[in-house]
Amino acid sequence: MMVPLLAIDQLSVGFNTDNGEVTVVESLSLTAKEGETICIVGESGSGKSVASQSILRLLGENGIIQQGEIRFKGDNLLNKSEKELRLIRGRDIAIIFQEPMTALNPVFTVGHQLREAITLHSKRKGREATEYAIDLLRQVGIPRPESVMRDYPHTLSGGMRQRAVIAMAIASKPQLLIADEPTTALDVTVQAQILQLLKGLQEGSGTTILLITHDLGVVAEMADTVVVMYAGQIVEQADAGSLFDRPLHPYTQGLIHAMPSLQTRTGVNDERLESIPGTVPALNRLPQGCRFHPRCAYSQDICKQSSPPLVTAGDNRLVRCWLASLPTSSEPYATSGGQAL
Amino acid sequence: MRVSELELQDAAAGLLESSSSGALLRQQTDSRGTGASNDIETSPSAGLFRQVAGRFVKHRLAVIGLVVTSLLIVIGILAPLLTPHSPYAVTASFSAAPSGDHWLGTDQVGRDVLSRLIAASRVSLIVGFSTVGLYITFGTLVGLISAYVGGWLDMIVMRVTDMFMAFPFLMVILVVVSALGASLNTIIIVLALFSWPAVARLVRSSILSLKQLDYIKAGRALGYSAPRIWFRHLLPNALGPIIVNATFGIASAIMSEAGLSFLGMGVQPPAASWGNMLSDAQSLTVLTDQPWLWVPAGTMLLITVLAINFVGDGLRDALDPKR
Repeated sequence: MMVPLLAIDQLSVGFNTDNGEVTVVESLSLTAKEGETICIVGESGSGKSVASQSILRLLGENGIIQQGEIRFKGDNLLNKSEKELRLIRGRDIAIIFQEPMTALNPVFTVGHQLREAITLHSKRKGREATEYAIDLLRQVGIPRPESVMRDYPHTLSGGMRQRAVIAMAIASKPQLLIADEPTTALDVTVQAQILQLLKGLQEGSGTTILLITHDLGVVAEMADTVVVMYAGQIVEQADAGSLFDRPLHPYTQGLIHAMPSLQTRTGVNDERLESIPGTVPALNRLPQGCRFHPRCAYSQDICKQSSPPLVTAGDNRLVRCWLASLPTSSEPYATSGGQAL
Repeated sequence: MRVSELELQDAAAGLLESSSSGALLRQQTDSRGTGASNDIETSPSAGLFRQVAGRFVKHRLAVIGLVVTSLLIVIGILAPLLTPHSPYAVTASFSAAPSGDHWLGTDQVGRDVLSRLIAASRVSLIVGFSTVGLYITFGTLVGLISAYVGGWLDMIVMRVTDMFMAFPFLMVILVVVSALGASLNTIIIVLALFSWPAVARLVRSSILSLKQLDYIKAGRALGYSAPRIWFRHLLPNALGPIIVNATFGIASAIMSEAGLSFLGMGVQPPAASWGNMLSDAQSLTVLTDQPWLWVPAGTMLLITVLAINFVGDGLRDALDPKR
């Protein structure tokens, strides 16, 4: 079997806080093959951004990787020195951050920053680097790239800035592109354009994309595989088609039903948008048992007592729910509907 | 009124243009003039510099301050050529009133006051600029690294700055100067020693907020080394407050030097300094009957400090992005 491009194995990440160490991501495992798009979905505070940033060890001084391995092409990134890691950052793995307004340095021109990213990881210098920079801007769909090179970030719109950020990220043709909510801060129309752009770039280069989002619309648009996170744990993992057809975890069902839609879905006739009651629990005050049970409509006694394991549920599907693990349980959620929710 | 104001602005623009950073400005206007579309390698700060210069020029007092400061700098540099007499040459007439030969009279040992005044301007400027140069460099480095690295290093550095700031500044300086011996170098080093902690704290606080921003994280994610992030990405963004602090620092270093020299702890005669010229006024007869011995030095000190502080005010307003 081929070594997968990225394999995260039993990763746990914590943060040092005034109240001691709090685990933010717990035993996360996932693999990404070349050319695949994996979406990590979850509410704010579910640990999805932390998980993605720990891949390049960008967590800052309070973040601690408690256990696990992150293997990139077979090499464990967690064992690498800062110096070795620096060669991988930006060259093999690149990150696009959420906020295009702050992702570019305000005191330098777009061209200056783009050229800096180019010259760092390639032999291109001087005019050649400038030409490549203009070429990149053109690739990400920026009109008049020559003049945008001389512009300061504050003169560009959010969408243009995010394009410039993407241009910087793809400058060295990374094999893995981590996009941390790349479209959240943008207008819906611009959102679609940026997603289209990422898709196009991926088709051209075979880059693997790890997309962090809370927007199921984005997931439906982009994902091959979907990982749903809740309170630091994976609660469900499936390929995009089956996840939308037949969500297994009550949380995933809730997310899907909380998604506004113009079409009437089968079984959903009321016009009100459904929401999941309650909020994500604070990570230092997690409920006993299943972390989702206080918000779950199917909560049973066992859910309150012990935490469900992540179990296989069919082809390439994983789910963390007692309802799926207990052989005796009926499957109230097995139909397409959310009648019960 | 209107016309004079415009002339002033023109003069200031001219001054800015002739200063070293003005070269950037010209370079940009040139490339724009010829319509060279592929000239992308113009300095990255040129655009911001233009904006800041534009705002600075609108600040009238600051422009006057800049003109006066520039004049003083020219006088300081050309001092040996401008003095009508040697500042050290003793003449036969002691404490002589101003005359055609000695425009500002002579001092108690018969040296030409005007010449000493001019020579002293050089001393003051040397103290001002070297002290600030030293402690801004050191304080900025310390603050930058302390904030970026964080953790125990930051803790230790901040406790050290606390310690320095808790010392009774003037008394320690007096002790150190009397222990090491009074000289220009000692003054510069001692003043710098007690001024860097404030800069370190200033830089630290702005870096602490800057390093949270996405573009610094993005820089790390792109594989930039720590020094590159410090000097190429963080520092340019923190430069505004540092420049303002440095400008006020020059004025206060000049004041401190004058104070120390006045007390006999600074520049030692026969070398001239505005401070030690003022110390002549410690005698009541000089204070009441021989104003030419102290009024010029006092006036120069006042003008210099005011001018530099006006420049500082102007820079603070011009560099403030909220305006």
